[in-house]
Amino acid sequence: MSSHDENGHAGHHVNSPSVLIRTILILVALTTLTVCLALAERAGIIPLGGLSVPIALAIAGTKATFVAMYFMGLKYDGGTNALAFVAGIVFLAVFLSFTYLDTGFRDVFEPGSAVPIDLQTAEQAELEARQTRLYETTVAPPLVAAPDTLLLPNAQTTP
Amino acid sequence: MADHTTTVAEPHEHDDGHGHEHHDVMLRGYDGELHPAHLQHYFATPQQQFEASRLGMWLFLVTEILLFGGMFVAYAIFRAWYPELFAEASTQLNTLMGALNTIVLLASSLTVAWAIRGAQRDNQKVLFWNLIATVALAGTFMVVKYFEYTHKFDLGIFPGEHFVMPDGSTIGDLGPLADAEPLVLLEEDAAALVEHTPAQGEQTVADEHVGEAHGPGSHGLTNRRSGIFFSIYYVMTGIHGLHVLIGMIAISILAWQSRRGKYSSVYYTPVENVGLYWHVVDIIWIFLFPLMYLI
Repeated sequence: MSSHDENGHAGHHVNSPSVLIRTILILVALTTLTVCLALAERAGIIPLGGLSVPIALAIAGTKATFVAMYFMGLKYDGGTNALAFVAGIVFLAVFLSFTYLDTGFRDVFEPGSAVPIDLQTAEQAELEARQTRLYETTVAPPLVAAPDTLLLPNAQTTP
Repeated sequence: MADHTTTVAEPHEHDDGHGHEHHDVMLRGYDGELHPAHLQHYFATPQQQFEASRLGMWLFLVTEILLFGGMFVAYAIFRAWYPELFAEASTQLNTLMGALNTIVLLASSLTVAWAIRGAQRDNQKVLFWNLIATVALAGTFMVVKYFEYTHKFDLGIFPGEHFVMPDGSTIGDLGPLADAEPLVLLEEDAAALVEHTPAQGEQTVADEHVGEAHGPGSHGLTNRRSGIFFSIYYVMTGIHGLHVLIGMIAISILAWQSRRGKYSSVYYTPVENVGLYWHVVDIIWIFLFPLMYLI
């Protein structure tokens, strides 16, 4: 297509039906794949373990790439739109990784700072309760029941 | 000086080899040349205007991705902190309904891309009916969402502190130490603990609700942090649903305008830009679906 004539018909890329149909079929196939993988893993047929999240995200990323390249036209647009899109993804990755660097390693320098506050309070209350109970059972009786206050002015009669 | 508001006497009819014709309103500019009516004076060519408008839309879409990105980061952090909570709570989401919604949104992306193709080839019927189909598919998405939400409300699954636990009380009613388990339990302390357990938070339980198949609290989730997962779920899908509604309104306006013949291969910029927005809404759901429903 010529780039532009004086009537203003611009040389836009027109998606061909075959490209659109092929893209939607790939997207539906990837959706089916990810659903089947998840159901199989839940049923215990395929043990993915720790890989389930990266695989699901990889399939989702592939689907998003197909939507962006073919439906949104990034493949045919020249570079600027793709640059804006990729830059957004890069900054999102910075956001996520730096936040995780904080929250994932909280208790490296301050032990206990990664424990939720309600569990910390509960631990504290439990320790105090146990100390109180132990104190009540282990406190020693006074050696002298009624000390001579002239001889021992600092003696305490109550524990 | 040429009067730049004069239109050409005869509408300029032509057939550019596409096999169709359209009537363009041409104006005469300051330079004495004819140009399409929609071309603004600060752009050199309609192609440049179209591309600038599209880049502006892409920049807005980057901000949308960062908007949802913030919520995805919240999801990631809470999932890293409470993995067993997420595994347990996501069983409450219906995988098949989520997959159906995914297929519906993918189909709506196809129809809006096809509508743009219709505009590019001056096929008003294809343009109009594909825009209508996009709105219909988006409406289907919202209807499925409505059923999902109401089913959860029936089970007492509400966000945050309103989440109804299996015994009928809400998370907001739980006291601070209600479910905390002691770290090391010595045998002689076990008996003492029974006496010393702090009083439970205010119980609003009516015993007849316990064990009821469809009443509030019958979801079977006992983790007292379940409100976290469902807060994230409701906010993310809710804001996404709001974006779907906004897209439905915008595409309906496009369909109405196309009925009046506003769009053709000369000028279809709004169709292109709203289509880009719709694809981003689809991409966000493509990521929401596995993170919420599948893993």
